[in-house]
Amino acid sequence: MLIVSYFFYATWDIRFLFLISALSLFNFYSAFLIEKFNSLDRKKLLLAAIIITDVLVLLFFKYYGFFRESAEILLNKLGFQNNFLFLHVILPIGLSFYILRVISYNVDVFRKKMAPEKSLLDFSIYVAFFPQLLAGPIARAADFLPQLKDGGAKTIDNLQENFALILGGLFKKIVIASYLTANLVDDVFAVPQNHSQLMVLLAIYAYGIVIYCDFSSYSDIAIGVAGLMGFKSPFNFNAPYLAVDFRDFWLRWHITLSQWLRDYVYIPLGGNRKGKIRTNFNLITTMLVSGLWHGVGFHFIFWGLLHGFGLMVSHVREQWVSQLKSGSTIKFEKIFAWFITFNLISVSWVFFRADSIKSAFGILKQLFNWQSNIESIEIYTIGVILLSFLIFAFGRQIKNLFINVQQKLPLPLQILAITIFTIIIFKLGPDIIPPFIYFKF
Amino acid sequence: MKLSNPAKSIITIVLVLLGIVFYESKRIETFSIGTDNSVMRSLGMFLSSKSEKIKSFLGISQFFENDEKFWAKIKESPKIFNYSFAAVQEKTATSTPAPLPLNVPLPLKLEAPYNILIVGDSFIAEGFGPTLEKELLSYQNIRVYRKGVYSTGLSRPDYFNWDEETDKLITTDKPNIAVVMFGANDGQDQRTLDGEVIHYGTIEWNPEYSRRVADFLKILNDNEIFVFWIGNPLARDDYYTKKMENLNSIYQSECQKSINCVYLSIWSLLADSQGKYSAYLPDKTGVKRLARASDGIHTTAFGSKILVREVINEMKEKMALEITPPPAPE
Repeated sequence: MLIVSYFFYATWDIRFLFLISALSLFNFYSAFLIEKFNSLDRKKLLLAAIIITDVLVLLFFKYYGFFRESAEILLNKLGFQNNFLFLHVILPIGLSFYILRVISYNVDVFRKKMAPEKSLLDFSIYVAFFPQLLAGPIARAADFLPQLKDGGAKTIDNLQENFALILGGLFKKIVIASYLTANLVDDVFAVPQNHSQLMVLLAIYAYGIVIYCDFSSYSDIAIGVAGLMGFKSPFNFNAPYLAVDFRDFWLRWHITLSQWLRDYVYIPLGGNRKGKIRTNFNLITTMLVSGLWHGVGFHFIFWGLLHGFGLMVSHVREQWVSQLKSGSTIKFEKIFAWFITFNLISVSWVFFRADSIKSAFGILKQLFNWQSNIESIEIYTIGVILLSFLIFAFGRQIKNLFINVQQKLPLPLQILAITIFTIIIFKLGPDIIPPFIYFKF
Repeated sequence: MKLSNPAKSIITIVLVLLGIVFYESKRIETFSIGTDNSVMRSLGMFLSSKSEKIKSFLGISQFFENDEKFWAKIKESPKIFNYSFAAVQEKTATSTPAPLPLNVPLPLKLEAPYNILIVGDSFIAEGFGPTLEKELLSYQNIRVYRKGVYSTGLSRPDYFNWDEETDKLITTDKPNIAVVMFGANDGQDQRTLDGEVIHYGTIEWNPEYSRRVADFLKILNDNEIFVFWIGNPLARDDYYTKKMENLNSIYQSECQKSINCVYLSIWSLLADSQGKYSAYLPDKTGVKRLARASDGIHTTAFGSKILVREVINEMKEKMALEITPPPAPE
């Protein structure tokens, strides 16, 4: 499995192998040191050093160019000569994800939630497991490593379910996300001033669909592929656009990341145990970390802050809702809260998708350009948007139907059905399928 | 014999993958040409060429070509809310227009309002194309329509037919100016719509490609559209740079034959002070900023801005471009 995973990673760039193996070695042995030390203070100090090292690696690869450019521009404006070391640094794909895995492993060893892994091979597989390597889900060592014991996974529980996940993922990625990206989102977000209000509004909602379908499809495919090898992976999404507030949203969206942030950022900061002001500070800080983790640029920081404020408001809302008594009021409030949350999250995606804060506001500004013409639009684009809502509503039922039918068919017919469905999915999508959005994080 | 689930899993994966690769060999080939992943590229090219050979051997190639056409037709979406601009006279595209007096093309007058059509490959689809569109929109009396399609060019009309597409765009958008940029995907075997292949590097390749450029220009010029043909910038990899040099010389030479075409060279705009490729280039203040994408071909936002600045300057020599003044305070 390690050879397959490393080969998979090396197809991007063979140099990435040095980094992933060095990080695996470093974190594997450092966990033993944590266990070895008797004094809690020493353990804490060591853990801090390990985390700082891992984070510095991430910062260097992800942010060096951004920091150098920003600092030089700022210094130039202040009249100083720039003299930062110039390095051409490339971001190894998936680094942001496996850094989180190794950090959580060492923290769990420190918290005595698990003993240090004794097999370097198994630990290296955990770090580099190819279905989850590029964009998660972010599995925890305590859940993943036991699956490698006694010669690794031997049973595959539900073949049809794994194929259903892969096919569903391909459908979401190719037919919905890629189509809307190619036919609506990219053009409107690139030059919003050349598009009508209606088109910009549609593109904003469409991007919400795109990012959900794109990212959840990767998770589904990763879970399905891992499942076909007998590995169980954590689920990453649970109908996020049905959320009634931001807290609810983060319980449904990129679940393994939000759980990671909760366990390794929010709770160590004090969580909600140190009063209201500190709780709010912790929420904002956690979401700021989330924004910074996602990408380079002030627009990601702004996106993180928006979600931090959203979480603060969620806490207030939940307290207020708990005092409501009438059933119909609760129902009405829920619909209203869903509507507001859905639209605010859609607006927040504008900052996530844009290449700067300025261009994000440029997109939002175009929503209020009352002089724009009505623009022609392809009927299929509207159709795909409507189709995506149907998938959101009935996706589970469609998946179960597929599984039930498949289970009744002999293997050759199952294979034929999967092949035909996959070909139809490719045929329905655009000719060029863009890479998964989360690959760049 | 009862198979275990792992055996079923492996058999299913292998057969499904082989089935898809065989059926979708053309798409696999297109993907392979465009991917940065060298292993995927080699594997994809190998599998797609083998699949094509098997199809040809079995005599079923025609079925797959008809299948492609069937799906292309299915995916042709009608539009709603069609509208037309009052500023520009109605014009219908035609590939075979009425001959001009004495068959001598007349120089077109470039007068506002400008309806600019930007067409091309991935350079136009992202980065350079949107930046140019955005910049042009800051000038007065301009409408801009942009159509960039990834992995396309003039070499493979069997995959994407730019002549046909441009005819359609002329009918719907009614441009009087076109900005054209091709080449990034054209350094490959050319195919005709009849399935004939002209291999890259053969003596027939350049004349055939020149003919295609000339035909494309003719469609625009015959519809009274002035053309700014943009060449390609130098690239990181030598083999690619050589291809681009060759293509640029064809664009320049064909463009010079037309009175209504200006060739804009951007070859050295993204070169360093030694005239060589550099991913990072200094901005006005001397700060080195990333100008090229990881593939060594496309441009970042900063690189696109460098190109657009120069392209607009060149366009200004032919067009009376004036910046739209900011709205007066009420």
